[in-house]
Amino acid sequence: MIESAESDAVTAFIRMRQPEVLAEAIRQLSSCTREDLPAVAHAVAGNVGSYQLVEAHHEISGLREVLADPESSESDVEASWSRAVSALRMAQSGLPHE
Amino acid sequence: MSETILVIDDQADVRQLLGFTLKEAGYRVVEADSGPSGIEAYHANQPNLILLDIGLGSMDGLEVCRQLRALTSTPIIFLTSRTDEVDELVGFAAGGDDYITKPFSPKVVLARVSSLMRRNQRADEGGKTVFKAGPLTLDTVAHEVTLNGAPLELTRTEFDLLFALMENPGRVVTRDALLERVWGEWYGDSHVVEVHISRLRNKVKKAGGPAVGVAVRGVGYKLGIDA
Repeated sequence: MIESAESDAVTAFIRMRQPEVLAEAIRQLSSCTREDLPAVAHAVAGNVGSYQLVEAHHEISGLREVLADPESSESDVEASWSRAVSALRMAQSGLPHE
Repeated sequence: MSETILVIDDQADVRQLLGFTLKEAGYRVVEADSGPSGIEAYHANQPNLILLDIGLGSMDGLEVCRQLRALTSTPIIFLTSRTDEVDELVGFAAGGDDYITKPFSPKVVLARVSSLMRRNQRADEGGKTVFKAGPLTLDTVAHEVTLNGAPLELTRTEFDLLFALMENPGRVVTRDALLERVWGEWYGDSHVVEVHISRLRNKVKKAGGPAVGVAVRGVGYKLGIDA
């Protein structure tokens, strides 16, 4: 979904690139190790958010918060990680097909 | 010839979005995917402005900024996903002129870039170019500040704030006027004025100079020394 009032050309560019950005985010987030997860979540959040994939960005931000919270258990991390990947897949399935 | 912007970010998707947005607005864009290649690209292209990601790999953006600052006063805008205030302040301390948080809106990036470019152009415009106040001298052409004849190293933002105060000796410059003058179309918190004035004051004092940027409660700031 394109939310802000960007120029028509930028909006079209974002829309055109969203499938690739999502596919790459899914690939990175679902294949990274637990050790690499904080750095991957950090990078993916910036990309997905800047391409205006709002809901997926929200879930990845949630994952980053869980990762940063010393009180989080490994099962909290696993659950949040899984939700983030699902949100990315949902965003992917919601994109218009050319 | 159009103005050149160097984008240093290790994320290809971010570089592509910034590159497209800036080219669409008429800028020439050079991209680099690491700190060392960014410094090389600076030497090869002499850009008018640099967009620099803080979270780069082996050489992080703050270190890149420190190295660039030893070479140039070209405006630097940090891109950061670290939103807490401490990191932002550390960013400014490293010599950046502004920061944009990720995720970013391309429209906001353009506004910030154009605002910093305007600040540069204003400094290059005609009219009085040398301002003196007590032991301080500010030269807008050489882009140099001296204290008792010795060069004083300031960031571009600190330079612009001092310039605004030295242009108005004996008068209070409101916080809004400083925001408009230095940051132009501003999207962030107005507390940045306090932060940068405080850094400017500390630098001048540390170099043995007078207290500049005296706060006038609820209004703004005045130079605080006689012209």
